[in-house]
Amino acid sequence: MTTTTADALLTRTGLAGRRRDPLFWISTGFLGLVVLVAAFAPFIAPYDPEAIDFAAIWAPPSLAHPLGTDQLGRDLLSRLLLGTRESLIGPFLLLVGATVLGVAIGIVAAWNGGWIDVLLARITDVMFAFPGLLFVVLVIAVFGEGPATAVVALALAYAPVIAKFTRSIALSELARPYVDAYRVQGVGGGVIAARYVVPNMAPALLGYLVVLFGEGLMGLATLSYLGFGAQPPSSEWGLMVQEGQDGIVLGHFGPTLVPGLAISAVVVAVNIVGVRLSERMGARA
Amino acid sequence: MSDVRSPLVVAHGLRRTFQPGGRRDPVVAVDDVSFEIEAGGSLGLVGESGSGKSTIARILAGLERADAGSLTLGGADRLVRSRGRQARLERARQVQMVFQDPYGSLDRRLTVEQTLMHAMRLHGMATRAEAPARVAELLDRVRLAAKHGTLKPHQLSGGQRQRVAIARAIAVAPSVLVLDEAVSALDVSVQAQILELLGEIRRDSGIALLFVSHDLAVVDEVTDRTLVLFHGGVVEEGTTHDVLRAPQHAYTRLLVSSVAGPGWDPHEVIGRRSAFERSRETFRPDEARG
Amino acid sequence: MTAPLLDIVDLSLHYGDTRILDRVNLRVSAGETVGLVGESGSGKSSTVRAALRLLPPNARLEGTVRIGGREVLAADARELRGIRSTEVGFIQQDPRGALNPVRRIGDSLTERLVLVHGVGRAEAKRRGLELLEAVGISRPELRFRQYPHELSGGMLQRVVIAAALTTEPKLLLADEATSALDVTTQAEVLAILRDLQRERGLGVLFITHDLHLAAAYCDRVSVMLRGEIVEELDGADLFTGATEPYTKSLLEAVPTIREARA
Repeated sequence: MTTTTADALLTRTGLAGRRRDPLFWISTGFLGLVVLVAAFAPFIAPYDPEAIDFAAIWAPPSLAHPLGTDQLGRDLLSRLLLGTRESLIGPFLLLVGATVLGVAIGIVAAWNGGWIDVLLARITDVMFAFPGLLFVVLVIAVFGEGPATAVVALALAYAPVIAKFTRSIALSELARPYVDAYRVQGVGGGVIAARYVVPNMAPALLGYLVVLFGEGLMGLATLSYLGFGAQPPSSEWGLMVQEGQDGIVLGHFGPTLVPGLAISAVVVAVNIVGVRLSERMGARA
Repeated sequence: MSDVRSPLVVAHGLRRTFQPGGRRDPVVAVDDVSFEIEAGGSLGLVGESGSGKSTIARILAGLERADAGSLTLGGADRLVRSRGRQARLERARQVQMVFQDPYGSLDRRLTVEQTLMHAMRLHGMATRAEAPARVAELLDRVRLAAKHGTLKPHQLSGGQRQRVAIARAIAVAPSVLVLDEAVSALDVSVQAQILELLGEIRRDSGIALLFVSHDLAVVDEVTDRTLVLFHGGVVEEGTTHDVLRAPQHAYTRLLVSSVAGPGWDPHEVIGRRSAFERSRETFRPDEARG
Repeated sequence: MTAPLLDIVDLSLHYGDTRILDRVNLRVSAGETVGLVGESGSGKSSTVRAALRLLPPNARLEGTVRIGGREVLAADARELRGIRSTEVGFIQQDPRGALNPVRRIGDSLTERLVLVHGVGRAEAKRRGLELLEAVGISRPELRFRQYPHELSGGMLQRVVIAAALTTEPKLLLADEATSALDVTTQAEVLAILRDLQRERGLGVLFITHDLHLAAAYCDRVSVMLRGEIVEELDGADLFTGATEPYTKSLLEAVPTIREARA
């Protein structure tokens, strides 16, 4: 009964804490807004993001251009809004791909042990020893540059990391007797892993994946910045930062600062929401 | 009981070794263990940790394989792999298990109802329409209120969780219920209620029990026959009453006299233990079995 | 007569409106073993945690707790650290939770000696090994280098007991310290504690759910129910002298091999 009382107390403070958690609601609201923008950007953007206007190069913020313009006189607000979709879908797909692959490998390694486990350990060791970006550049060198390759390359780079993390939490999850209870009932191993163990690990996994979403977003932006990911005239945020940097020496910070801040804001918001959500799921479970 | 029937469970010469990490020698967890359980009977397994009692329970429940020996239930071999999903499910259904940790052994995402329904539907024990009535019946049988059905494990007390675990086990009408330290984590008053419940279930449904416990007094309450294990081997077997009150083997005597009671002195227990360890040089468990 | 090692006077504990402890009084003197029994949720563990102020921030404490004559509830952070590190050894229920999983057993065992008490590493190791041996751990040199996950629960429990004894505290708070152990191992550990009590007057607060053990091992036993101490008895009288209905019902529920002891 100690545990029940303790749980009740925790849940109660958890609830109260959530109600009085403005950071969580601000972040959720912000991300909701970002998703809406991604969906409706073509309708709300004041200008064509690719419309060049040599009369308004590096224009400061004004009524006509609320965030100013870039080195080709393109409207920064419109570019930012339209870049949302490509900037968010990339990391999302990357995360989904890496998660499916990583979780599957991690669970199999934890469940079976043996050579699969050893192989996984070796692969992750190599991946950890090998600079991630270098691996990605290598993949791109083989398969050619472009947004799709960048996503696939990063997904392959993240999968072992997720697998290793999954393996570690799966090991303690599989040691819980409810797994044996399902086995005694005659449920097969694969079904237990997929239908019962993975959902029970979800809170811990979610917290981790959210951090990776932020990393993925930045990773893809970095690749675009280096010229391996999104290609001009796309307004993917990483590419915008790269294209805008010529202006910095001339004192025009807007074209780099605006997409840079957008990346940071989304990463921070996703982290806050993800951590709180995983806490919530953990408290309920 | 007057007619001569063959026992429900027959284990013969069970053996199981584990290979620890590194280049160390394999550990013999279960060494040539034989026993029988009558239909509706109850057998206690006692011994210290590492005596192999849990491993035997897990072999019977199908969670662990045996390296040698035979194990049959109602004449059917339980050590070979069953072919096909139906055969596997049917074999699993016959032996159900209740674990020590009542919280960990329940899926924490599922409500009590969901847990019970899952077990019944898996084994086709109830149609979708019948299931709610069967759940209500099961909850009643383990003395839980209907309102507990909608709760999740973390909202229940330890005793209630163990009742759910027992309900889940008997939901599929097994012929043997394996209890591995199933009341060790519970308070004495809750423990007494659970033991009473187990007695009732045994009386009403004729489910046989394999009861693993380090608590001799609890084994005394629940079981008819007892097997005393030491380092994986059986050192004594008999009716629980005789084994605990007139122990024959030196190790059983040590176990029984180590239990705290009036006049208990830790130094005396240690003295007896080391005397026993010394006597093992001449008194091997293998010979005692003879 | 010297001051008691642990003196809890009218200790109450609330979480918001929920009352966990209600005017608990407990006293442990040098060389004495005091049992604290009761069912889960009765407040046994909370009493110990409250006495050491190991509670979440929303806990509200009233009353007095003195450990070795030093006021605990009014102590500032530094004093509190001093009391915890020098006066008391604390053994928790869950040995796995009490040990850092990524540190070697030896490091966990000696860190308090080295960091807080300024004992040299070699000397700390010598004392640690000695204690491991004393609590019945085979091959202490090997265990010293191992990690918690490599040891069984019973073995870990003994490590935790050894760790609590490294700094030679005068008072030991043992929360179900031997419950996970086999009867003979339990006897080994309790024999060590009894020796320490005789040799240097160690006082022990012994929380257990095993009433037979409490009766056999403790000088005095306090029975808790819903945050209150309902009865206090001499250990030897626990099974015969109880007058409170709750204590009686608790004792009746205890399974016993009846004729065996006659």
